[in-house]
Amino acid sequence: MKRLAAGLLLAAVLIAAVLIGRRTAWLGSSDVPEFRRKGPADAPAVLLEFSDFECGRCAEVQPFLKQFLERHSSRLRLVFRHKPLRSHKWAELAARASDCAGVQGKFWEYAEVLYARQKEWSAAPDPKALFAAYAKNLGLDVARFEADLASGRWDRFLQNDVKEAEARGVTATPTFFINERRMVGQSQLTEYGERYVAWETDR
Amino acid sequence: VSGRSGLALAGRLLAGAALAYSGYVKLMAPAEELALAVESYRLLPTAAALAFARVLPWAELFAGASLLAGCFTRAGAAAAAALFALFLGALASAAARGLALDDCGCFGAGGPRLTRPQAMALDAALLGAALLAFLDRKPRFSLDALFDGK
Repeated sequence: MKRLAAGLLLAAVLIAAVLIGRRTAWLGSSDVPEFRRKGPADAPAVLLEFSDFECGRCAEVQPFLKQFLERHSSRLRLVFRHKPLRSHKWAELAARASDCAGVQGKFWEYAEVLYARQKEWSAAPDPKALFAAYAKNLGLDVARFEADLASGRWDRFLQNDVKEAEARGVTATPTFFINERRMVGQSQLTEYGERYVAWETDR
Repeated sequence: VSGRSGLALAGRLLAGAALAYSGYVKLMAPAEELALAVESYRLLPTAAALAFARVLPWAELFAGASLLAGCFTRAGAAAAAALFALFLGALASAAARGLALDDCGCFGAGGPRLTRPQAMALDAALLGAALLAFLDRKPRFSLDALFDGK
């Protein structure tokens, strides 16, 4: 009897420790620039994407994500947030470069190039020249792009995202949220995405 | 403390600490992230991987705490041994099928990352430790010993 009581007490303490630990870990929200939002502003659901330009899975999921968004173009608004993983050497620089392209109105096009040419720039000893070349190919003002990237002028966008990822307990990429429902990786988006959109928009 | 029961005690604490730690670290991260690591073994479909990822860390935490506190020690040791055998089997199966695992998922997405040989060596050692604890019918320094009046 004593043993059972001790076991139950131990279980209760463990459950409480986990719940308290999670509550302090997963709170918070911060803003994201307008150029990283796509879709109707009054959409009933938001698809939040946390991605890392150097992550293979993030690049692989893009064609599927594009189709998914097309299927729900009137019901979903995509919000992109950076989650550069520490294990990826150039992911943070790539994220900053994409924001420098974003302030010139070409975030999505630039992101597409970064995914498509991932192998090229991620293996480079210093990808800054490549990033500038991608900006040039998209018709951006390269001098401004390079100056912004060097000065860290738009770094606060990335810093906001890093804080938000931490607040939401995101440590793997790609992570998606449809409103507050989480999915990690393409197979979870495939398995649950449609259902979550329906739940969030058919109410 | 005799040599054998000392060894059993060390095994119990080692296996218990490893399981309690890995269970807690996984519980502090979203289950969906652990599910991604589980999916990479290609043993379970997505929905089942997510269900497994929700349950597994709790099983680890409870088994680990049972071993550390010495409460229902032998049941905890049996559960721990079953978990380590399961992990070892999954890793061996992935190796046999030539799957390249980005991350063994041993400590969730946020914890230390182990290569497959490291993970297999660790699981094999911990399986041995858990079996030692299971074979000890009278665990010392435990709540069980206290309740049994020893």
